[in-house]
Amino acid sequence: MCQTCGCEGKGSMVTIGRPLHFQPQKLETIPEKFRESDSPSPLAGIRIDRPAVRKGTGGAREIEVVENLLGDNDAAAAENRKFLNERKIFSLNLMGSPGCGKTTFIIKTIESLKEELEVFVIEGDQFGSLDADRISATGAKVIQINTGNGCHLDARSVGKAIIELEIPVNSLLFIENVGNLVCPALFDLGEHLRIVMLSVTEGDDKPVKYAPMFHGAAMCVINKTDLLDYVDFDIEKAKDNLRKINGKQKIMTLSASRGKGMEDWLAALRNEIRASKS
Amino acid sequence: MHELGIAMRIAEIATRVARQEGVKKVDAVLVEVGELSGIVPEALLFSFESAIKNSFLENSRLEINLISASAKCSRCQTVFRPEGFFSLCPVCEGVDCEILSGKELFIKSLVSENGK
Repeated sequence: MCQTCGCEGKGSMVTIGRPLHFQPQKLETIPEKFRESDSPSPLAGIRIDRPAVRKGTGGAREIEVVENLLGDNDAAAAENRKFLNERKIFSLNLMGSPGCGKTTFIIKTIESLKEELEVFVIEGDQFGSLDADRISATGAKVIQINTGNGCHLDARSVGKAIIELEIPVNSLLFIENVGNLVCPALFDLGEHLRIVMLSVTEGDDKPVKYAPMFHGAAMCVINKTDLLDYVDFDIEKAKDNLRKINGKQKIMTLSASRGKGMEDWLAALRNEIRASKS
Repeated sequence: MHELGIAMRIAEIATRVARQEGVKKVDAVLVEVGELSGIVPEALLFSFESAIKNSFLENSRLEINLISASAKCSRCQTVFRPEGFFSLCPVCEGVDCEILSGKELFIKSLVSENGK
């Protein structure tokens, strides 16, 4: 079983993490008036902002462990990032609901960049290779990862796919995550840019309802704007919601299938690639 | 549903470390959980009970320290307790706030009451 979200992932996803040696931030930095944490929890076993202090009574022994519970994935992600950086390969982790338009967005991007950049794709889906087949038709090299009952891609399986793709220096790598707004948010894949896609048919309230996903992405692409006349989607409200969740997020609005707004996206992508290499 | 997986990982790490250190009985496993980590502490306690059944850790207890979220506004530098991922500054309503704490999720230490 996957150690993080309980899904029936592959065995390679479940090995134990390495220590990261980080220190949690201390709450002492917070002014008293914002602290509401002194009330005891109704359940024994849970303290709030009270790290256990063990006094030396009766020779009790406390053994330091400090091991991140998502550590294994983070270590693999760091390896991926190092590998990609050394080869100047820019990588994107594209996430979003099933059907929000991720694959079409990737295909249109590949077609637009054909002359200037070689694009490689890692496709994450529960089953089948429908998306990989569509991408393969553009001429781009693609690997399909089937997660089976798993609900997200993890850094280790992506790392294997990266090796297998034999990506040359200065290329672009798209990682299309499994369509899901919950679990993929927890897993760093070693990407340079994390993008979450939101289509206008899903509703402008999604950033609030799936906050960790939208909080963790550096860019949000609002897709299917050609359908705005037919749905109750308030773009300004969606942007407000996004800003509340992540004030630093870059927001793009476009229609991947109709092409409107794609030039702005491509310009933003070129900027990101340039910035990553300087 | 995350919690059972996390509980199993805690149990595995605790068992491994206890064996390495030659600890015969682990009385408590101490973990630090940030309130923005996506973990429900009560569910983690409950899952831990299942995860340690018939194992080396059978009678160990899990002690969770829940770490409050804190954020700092980059405009007015106010440090505040954000409500979840809504990181709007309560003083200047700035949106550019950095999460300082609350995302922690790690196993801190093992305790053996009699030192063995």
